[in-house]
Amino acid sequence: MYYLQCLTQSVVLNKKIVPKWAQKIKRWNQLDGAAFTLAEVSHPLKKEILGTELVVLSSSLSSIQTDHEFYRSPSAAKFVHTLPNVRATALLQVCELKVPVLSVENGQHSLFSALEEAISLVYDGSYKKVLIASIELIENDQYRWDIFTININGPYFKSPHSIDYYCTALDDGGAEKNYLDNNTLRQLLFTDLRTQRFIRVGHFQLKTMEN
Amino acid sequence: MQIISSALVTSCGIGKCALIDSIYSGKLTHRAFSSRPTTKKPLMFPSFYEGAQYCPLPSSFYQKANSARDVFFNLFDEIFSQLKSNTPGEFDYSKMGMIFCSTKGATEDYLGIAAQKFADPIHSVLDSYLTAREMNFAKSICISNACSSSHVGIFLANKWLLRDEAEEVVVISSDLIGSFVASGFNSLKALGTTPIRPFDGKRDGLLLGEACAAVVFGKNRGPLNTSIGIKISKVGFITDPGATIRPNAEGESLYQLIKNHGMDIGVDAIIAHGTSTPANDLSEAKAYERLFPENNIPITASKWCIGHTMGASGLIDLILAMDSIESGRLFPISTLKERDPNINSLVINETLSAEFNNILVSSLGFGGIAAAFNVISEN
Repeated sequence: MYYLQCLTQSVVLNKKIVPKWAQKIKRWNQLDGAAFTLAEVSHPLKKEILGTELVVLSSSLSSIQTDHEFYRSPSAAKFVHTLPNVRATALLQVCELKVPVLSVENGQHSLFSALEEAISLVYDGSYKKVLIASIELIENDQYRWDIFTININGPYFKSPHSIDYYCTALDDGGAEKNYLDNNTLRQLLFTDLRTQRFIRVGHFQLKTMEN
Repeated sequence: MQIISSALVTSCGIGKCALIDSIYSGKLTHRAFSSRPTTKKPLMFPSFYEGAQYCPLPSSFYQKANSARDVFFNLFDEIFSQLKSNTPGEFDYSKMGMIFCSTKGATEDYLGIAAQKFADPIHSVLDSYLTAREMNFAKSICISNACSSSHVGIFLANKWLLRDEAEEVVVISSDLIGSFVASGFNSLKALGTTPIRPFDGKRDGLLLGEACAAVVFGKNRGPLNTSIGIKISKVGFITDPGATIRPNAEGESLYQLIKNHGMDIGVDAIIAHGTSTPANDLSEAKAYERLFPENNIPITASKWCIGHTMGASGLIDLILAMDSIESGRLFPISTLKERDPNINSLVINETLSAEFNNILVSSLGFGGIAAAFNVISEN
C-alpha cells in the first residue's frame, strides 16, 4: 500500500488581509502571487506535511507572470520571485521545513512529471516522504494549486514507468488486475483531504471519483 | 555515475580548450554584463537585443537569431556537435535521458505579450529544439533551481541512471544575459567592478557571463580521449528558506549538506561558487573553515574568468574539475590580490600542481539552495 494525498482547489488572492502565517515570513507582502498562494494553502496542512524530506515543485508556466510584473515595474523583491524555485521557500517557511526543493518544468506535463519523479524517488529509497506542490496560473491573481504527499508505507511499484502507464491501468479499472498480472502496481489512491473523496489520476487531468 | 563526455561554449565562441587556456593564463573570457549600476532605479532594457548589445563582444551565436530561443538553438547545435565528436560510438537518443537546466530560459521572448499566450520559457526552448532536430529522448525534463540548477540536474541524472530509466543522460545547462537578467541583477545591486575578485577583501559584486555546457553521464560506455576515468561520487542539495536572498553568514546550509553527505571525506581541492559578492564568498569560506579547520584544502573559483553563467555554472566547474584531475593542476583566482581578512581558507591565486583525485564543487543560489558534488578519479 502506498498513500498519495491530494488537495486541489483554485485560490483567489487577497493580500490585503494579513495572513495567519504572517509572522513566519518577513515582508510577506512582497511575496509574488504563486509564493503567497502556496504559503496560504500549505499552512493549514502543516500536520500532513510534517516529516517531508523533499519538495518537488511543478510550474507549467515557470514564473512568467512574475516575470511580466518585473518587466512592468522592476524591483529587487520582484526579481527574486522570478526564479521559479524561490516560490517554494514560502511553503517551507510556513511549514518549518528545511529540505531540498526540486523545481521541475515540463510544460503542460509538469505536474505529472513531478509526480513521476516523486513516486520514483520514494520507490528507489531516496526519500521516505515527498511533497509535490504544483502551482498554475489560471488568470490574474488566481491560481490552481495541487499539493500531494507521498508516504512510504508498504510495498511499491516493482518498476517505475511513466505516469501514463499508471493512468491507463487505472482508467480501465484494472489496477488490481494489473498488479496480479504484472506485479507492478498495488494501489494508486489519492485522497482529497477537503472532501474526503478519492481522486485518481486520469489522462493529464485529475478526475474525482465518487466514494 | 561515470562521465562519458562534455562540451562547452561561451556565447562569444570560447570553447572548452580555450577556456582552460585562459583560466590558467589569467585571461578573462567572458562576454559579460559587468558595469556597476549607474542609477538607483533599476534599468529595464526595452528589448532582449538592447540588453544583449549592452554587453561587449557580440557573438556569432546571436547572428541569424530573431529571438532568445534562436540563440539557444545555435548554442545547442554547437554543443551537440562537440558532444558527438567527443563521445565514442553513436548516440541512441531513444535510450538516453535529457535534462535542461536553466534559471530563466528564453524569458525575454515572452515579455510584453498577452497573458493567453504565456508559455513556459524554459521548457519551450527544450521542447521546440528536440522537435526541430527530431531528437526523441527516452525521457526529458527541465530543472530551474536558480544558480544551482546544474547541480540539481546532476542529482536527477544520477537517479535516472540508478533506476535504469536511461542508459545515458545528457545534462545541458545554459542561461542568456538579455534585458531581463541584466535588469534583474542590476536591481539587486549585485554587479561588481571588473575584474571581479572572489574572496578578495575588495570584492564588490559579481560579473554575469553567458555560456552553454553539457555533460553526458552513463554507466556502460568508457570515456574518450582520456586515460583517467572520472565520475561523480556524491551529489546533494538542500534549501534553507531563511536564506532566500542572502546565504547564511556562517555557511550553515553548505556545511550541513557536505557534512551530512560525507562529501568532505577525502577531498583534496574545492571549486567554490565564488561569485565575488561579499555575502556569497564569506558564507562559503565559513562553511569550509568549519569543515576543514586546518584550512589546508586549496580553494579556487572560475567566475572571475568566465563570469557567473547562472544555471550553467555548475557544469562548467565540473568540466574544469575534470581537467584538474586529468592534468594534475588547479587553476587560480588570478584576480585575487589580498584575501578578505575575515576569510582564513586556503584560497589560491597561483596555479597549483598536484595530484587531484577528489574535487568538491559547491554552489549557492537564490531561494536558499546549497548544493555540492564530488568529482573523483576512478584510479
